[in-house]
Amino acid sequence: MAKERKKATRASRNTGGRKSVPVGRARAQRVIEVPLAAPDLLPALDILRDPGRSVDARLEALQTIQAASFALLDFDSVRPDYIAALRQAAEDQDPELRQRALGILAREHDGFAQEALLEGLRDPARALVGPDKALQLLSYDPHAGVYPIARDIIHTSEDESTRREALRVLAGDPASAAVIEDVLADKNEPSAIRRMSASALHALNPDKLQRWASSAVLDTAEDADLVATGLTALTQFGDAKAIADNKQLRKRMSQLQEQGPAKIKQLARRFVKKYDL
Amino acid sequence: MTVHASDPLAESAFVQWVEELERRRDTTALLELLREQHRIYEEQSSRRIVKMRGWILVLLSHGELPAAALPFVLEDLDTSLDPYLVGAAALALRAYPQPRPEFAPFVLRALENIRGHDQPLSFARYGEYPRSVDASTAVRELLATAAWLGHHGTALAPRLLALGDAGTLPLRLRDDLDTALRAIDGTSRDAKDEACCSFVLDLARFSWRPSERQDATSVESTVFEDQSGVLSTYHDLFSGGPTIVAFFYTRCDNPLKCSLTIWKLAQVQRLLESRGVAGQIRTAAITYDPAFDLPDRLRTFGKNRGLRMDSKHSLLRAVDGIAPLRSYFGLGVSFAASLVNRHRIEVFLLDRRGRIAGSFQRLHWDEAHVVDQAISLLSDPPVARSPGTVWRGLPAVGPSAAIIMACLPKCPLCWSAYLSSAGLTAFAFNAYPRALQLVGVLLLIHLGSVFWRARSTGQWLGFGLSLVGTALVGATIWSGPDAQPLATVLVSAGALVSALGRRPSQWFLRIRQVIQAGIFRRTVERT
Repeated sequence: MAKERKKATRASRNTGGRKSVPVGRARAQRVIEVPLAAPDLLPALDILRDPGRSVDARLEALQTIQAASFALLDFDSVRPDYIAALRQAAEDQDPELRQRALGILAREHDGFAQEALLEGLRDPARALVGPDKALQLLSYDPHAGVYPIARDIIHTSEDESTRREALRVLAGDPASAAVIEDVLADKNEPSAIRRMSASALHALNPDKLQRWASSAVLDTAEDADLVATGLTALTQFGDAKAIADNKQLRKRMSQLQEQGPAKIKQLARRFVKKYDL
Repeated sequence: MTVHASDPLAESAFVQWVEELERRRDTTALLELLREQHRIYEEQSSRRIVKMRGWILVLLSHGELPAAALPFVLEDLDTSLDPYLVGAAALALRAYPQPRPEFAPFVLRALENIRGHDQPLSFARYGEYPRSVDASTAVRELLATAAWLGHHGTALAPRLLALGDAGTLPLRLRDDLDTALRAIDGTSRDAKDEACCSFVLDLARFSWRPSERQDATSVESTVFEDQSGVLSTYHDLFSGGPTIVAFFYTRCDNPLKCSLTIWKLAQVQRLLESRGVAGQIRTAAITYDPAFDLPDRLRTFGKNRGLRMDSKHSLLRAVDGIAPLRSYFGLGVSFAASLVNRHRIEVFLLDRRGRIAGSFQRLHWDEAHVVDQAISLLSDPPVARSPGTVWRGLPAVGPSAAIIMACLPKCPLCWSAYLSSAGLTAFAFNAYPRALQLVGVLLLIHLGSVFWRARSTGQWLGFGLSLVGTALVGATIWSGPDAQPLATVLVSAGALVSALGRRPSQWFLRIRQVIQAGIFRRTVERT
């Protein structure tokens, strides 16, 4: 980050003493201008903190300050004020401002943001953002304490997007491997959920995923998307010797090359080619 | 108050507890709560632990800070990137009875570490997150501590001046900076204070004489998997020569802890090479997070930090979990399920029997000093070299063959007597030549085993006894049974001396080790 800041500062010095540097486009296609020195951000901080200003103006101020946090070497001089303003904005009435502020704080592993997001997952009435977004923001920090809540969500939530985010979070938690295995094995689960479980299990226990992949490919009643996932896993990460010794698997590959959806045929051919079967 | 491992302590209960301890001025109990192994930290999130530990430091700052609190306070200044912990540690340090020059480098490092991480802080109530721009910050607390150090903080002056010049200090902290600079420059410097002593370093390093070292029996059969997936026991890995062992985990989010520890271990390896002892002193790093840190992750983590990884230098995961090691090493670590939620820096020196001979904890350790200490362990009294895992059972072959051979009849008369007692006289004539062949084979196996053992241990007495005994057995087959008892005794004695060592007093220990090796093999098979 320091290098990026130095580079940006050098670039700003090369602008011939102009007051600011264009770095991007705001919501209304306006060029955002970043001041050359951190103290010049104080007016933008005032706007961000002021609930009486329009949401557009506050979002623009936020974008300016966020750009400056990468661009200015002396940004540390306003950093505590920026964090204080973000904490205030995270509880604002406007959902977009709230989400943007929480997103920045969560990337900083900010304790206030993490506690607010966890609280919202426990008690939806107090949630500052939707549960899927909260899970996504909490996943930035594996130490945030979200794993037990994500495990509960897998069992209790009916929202597919939220459950998918929960599985993505749990891909970093070895204690959840059994839960993920159960979801993967459950043919009543939606295909997208099971595919996310496969991805999570690969991160936690690649050997277990390989065992599941072999059985999924051999299972003639398995969903085609899951067979494709299994084939991909075996092709990318399979043990060549175990595959060569597996007569059933080789026979099944011959079948899959000839019948079934085009995607499966293609994956089966790729598998056979890779392992020279 | 009792805390059970299964249920994490509620924040309200924690606050009530520690504030009661503070009211009773029970600093000993408060310090006990700062140990990472304490059950109050089990199953908590890292964020909550930051708040809990920070609040204990704040409470400690309300009275006089005892010397026993310094390792915890200085640790957070040395390695923490969390503004709340750094601010609370700076606050607590000011409660120490007198400022000391040794504290200045820690304040200096904290000022460097916290750059890019500072935020508004509140120490008025537990867990408060201020939204006001007037709140204190970690840098403000560090400046206040610099001012408290006064002339003892001379080492801080250049950094503080640079902080003012760089423009990275919030405008409202200018007065705090000026106050700190005035306090440092405004008093006369005491030459005695400038010479830094080992006061602080002594807080973070420990060593034990050979007679005081705890036996490693409880962990000897612990099975490890290295970065290449090879399985070995603690005994295999850490017996036969000194080892430098560090603890870490790949998901550690503080680059000043685990990442730096492995990088420094790589520096240690280079120092060992440059001093010509890389073949005699091993290095190892053991993960706190064996469920997540699979061999691939270990290998990548080590490779990215320039670590040499081979049979003598490895990254390890305990396949059955970290619990036995946590207990034996007294590791300063706590967990939420399998994920580490707080740990200290810890590096250990193991002697040639795998016992802990020294440790470096909490504060950053010096690579050269660790290498010096490890080299000093080379002069410990030697113990018998441990054979490799594959050949571990071979010494047992010698005694077994010798015992079977001793029990077998070795002349026609003895053979007739044995079979007669079993009512099988008629078989004696046919059985005798085959028994001779069997005795010959057993003797050859026995001699080969004893020779191999003697070559690896350098102790040839057992082989000598067996060789003489074997020669006598051969002679008695052709010349008569007179010398046969002596021959059998010599072969048996040779086998025992070879397998168990020259001193009968150590035989019990060796037999126990062989039994443990059997337990290990069963564990590996289960795994």
